Amino acid sequence: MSQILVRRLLLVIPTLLVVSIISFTIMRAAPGDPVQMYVAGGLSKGSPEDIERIRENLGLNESLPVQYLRWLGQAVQGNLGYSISSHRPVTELIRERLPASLSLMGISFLLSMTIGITVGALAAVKQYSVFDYSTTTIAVLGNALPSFWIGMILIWVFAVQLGWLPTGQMQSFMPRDPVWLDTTKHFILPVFVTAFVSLIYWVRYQRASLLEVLHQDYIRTARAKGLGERRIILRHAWRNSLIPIVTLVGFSVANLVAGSYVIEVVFSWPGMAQFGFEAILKRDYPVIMGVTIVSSLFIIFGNLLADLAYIVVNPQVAAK
Amino acid sequence: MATAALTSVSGHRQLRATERSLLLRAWDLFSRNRLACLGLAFLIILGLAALFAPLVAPYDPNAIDLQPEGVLQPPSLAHPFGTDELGRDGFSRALFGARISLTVGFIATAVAVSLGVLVGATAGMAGGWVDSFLMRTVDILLSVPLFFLIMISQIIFPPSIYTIMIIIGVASWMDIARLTRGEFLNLRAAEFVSAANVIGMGARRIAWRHILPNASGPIIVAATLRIAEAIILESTLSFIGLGIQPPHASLGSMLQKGLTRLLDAPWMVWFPGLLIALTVLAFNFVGDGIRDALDPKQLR
Repeated sequence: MSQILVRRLLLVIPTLLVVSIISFTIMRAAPGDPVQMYVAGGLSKGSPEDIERIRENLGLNESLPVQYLRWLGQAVQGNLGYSISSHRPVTELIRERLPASLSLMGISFLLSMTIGITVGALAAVKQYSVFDYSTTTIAVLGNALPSFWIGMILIWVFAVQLGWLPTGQMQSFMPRDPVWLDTTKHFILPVFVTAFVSLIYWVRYQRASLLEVLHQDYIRTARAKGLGERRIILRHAWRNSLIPIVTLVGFSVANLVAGSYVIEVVFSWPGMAQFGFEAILKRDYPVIMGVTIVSSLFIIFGNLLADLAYIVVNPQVAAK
Repeated sequence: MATAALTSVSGHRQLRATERSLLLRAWDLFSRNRLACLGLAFLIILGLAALFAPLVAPYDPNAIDLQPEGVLQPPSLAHPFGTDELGRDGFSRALFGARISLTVGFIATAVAVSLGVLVGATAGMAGGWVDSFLMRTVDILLSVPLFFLIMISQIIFPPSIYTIMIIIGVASWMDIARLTRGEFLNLRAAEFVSAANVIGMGARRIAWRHILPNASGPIIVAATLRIAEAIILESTLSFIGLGIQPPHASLGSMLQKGLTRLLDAPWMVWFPGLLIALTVLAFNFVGDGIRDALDPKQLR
C-alpha cells in the first residue's frame, strides 16, 4: 500500500514538469507576444525602442530554455510570476478565480453523485422496469447533447422567455433580491447543466455494479437465510457495489477545474475558464502557465485519489 | 454501456450460428438490436445526405437573401429549418455543416486510432522498459488539461478544417493506446501466437497479421464512440469561436451564430443542436450494438 503510494507520488513531479514544458512550448510557438498584443490593442503607441525596452524588462529577449528555467525556478517556490496585463501576482489572480469554478463544479459534483447513485441503484433493483428504461434514456440523452447547447436552451427558456433566472454571471450588478437568493439563482442553471451531463456516469456505474453484486452467491445465501429484501440490498449488496464508484469520485475531483470550461464561457462565469481564455487572447504568458498548472494539479491529484481509493476499498489490488 | 439496458437481446440462439462466418454471426446479433439498427440507419441517411449535400440541398448554403421576407424566417415548407440573419437557408447550411462535422469526426478519430494502435501495439509487443516508458507517457498526457491546450493550439496554428482534425486526433489517442496495449498483452499469451512464434514468424508480422485482427473488436467499439466525442469536441470549439472558421460552417459554428439570435430566431439553435445530438446518440447506439455483437458471452 505505502509502496504504491510512494511510487504514485513520485510520478507527480515528472508529470508536472512535462505538463509545464508542453504548455510552455505550445504557448511560445504562438505568433505574437504580449507586448505586441498590448500595442495592437491601441493601449499604448510606443516607439520601437520602447517596445524593445519593455521586452527586455519582461525577459522576453532571452532564449526560451532560459525563460522556462527561470519560470520553473520561481514556480517551485510557489511564485507563478506577475500577470503582464494587470501586473498583479498570478497566484493572487488565480486565488480570486478558483472559488467560482470550484463552487460551481463542487456543488454539481455532489448533486449528480447523490442523484446518480440513487437513480442507478433503484434502476438496478427494478431492472427492466419503466423506471429503469426511462432514467437510463434520460441519462443517455444528457451525455449525447452538447453541454453548451443544453445551457443555451435553458437560458432561452428560463432566462429569456420566463425571466425567472439570470442569463449568466455569478451575481447581479445591482441585485434586487437578498444576496444569498441572488447568488443561488445564478447557480441554478450552470449547476444543473454540469450535473446533468455527468449524471450518466454515476447512473451507469451504480446500476451495473449493483446488478453484478446482486447476482452473486452471497446475496442468494442472504436471501436463503430469510433476510428482508431491503436489508439485503442496503446492508449487503449496495455497500459492496460502491467499490467501482469510488474511482469515479476521484475522476470527478480531477474534473473540478478543467471540466467546466465551456459552461463557464456560456454562462460568463467568473471562473478559471474565462480567465484563461482572456489570457490566451492577450498572450499573458505567466497567467496561461498558472492556469494550466493549477488545472493539471487537480487532474493529477484527482487521478491519484481515484487509484488510492480503489486500493483502500479493494484490498485485492494491493495484494497483487 | 447504458444502452445495454435498452438492448433487448432475445434469449434464443440458433445452433447453426457456429456454421457461419464470425462476421455474419456478429451482424446477426447486431441486427437484432433495434436501437443500434436505428442508429446505423440514421447515420447512413445523414452520411449520404452530407456526402451528396450539393445535390440534395435545396439552396446554395451561402446564398444571401437580404429582403425582409427572406431574413430570419421561422421554419416553413420552403425553409424547413428556417433562415438566418443573412437569409441563408438553415436546412442547406445544416447539411453542409453535418458534412464538415462528420468529416472532422472521422478523420480526427482515424488520426487518434492510428496513433493509439501504434503506441499501444508497440508497448504491448515490446514489454519491458519500452512498455513502461510509453505507458507513463500516456499517464502524463492524460493529466494535461486538454481542452485548454487545444484552445491554445487553435490560436497558434492557422485555423483550418485540417488543423482542427489533427489537433483533436493528436489530443485523444491515449485511451486507445491503453486499450490496445491491454488487448495485445492478453493475446500475446495466446497459443496461436506461440505457434506463430515457433514457426519463426517475425514479431512485426505476428503483431499486425495475427494479434491486431483479434484485438480489433474493442478497438472498433472505442473508435465508434470516439467519433461521437470528436464531433462534440469540434462543435464545442467552433461554438467558442476556435474551430471551423467562415465561410465554412460546422454544426457547432452554426450554434455560435444562433446564440446571438436566441431572442428573435431560436430555430437557428434548435436544429443544428438537435442534429448534433441525434448524430452523437446514433454513434453511441451503434458502438454499443457492435460491442454486444462481438461479445463472446452473447453466444452462450
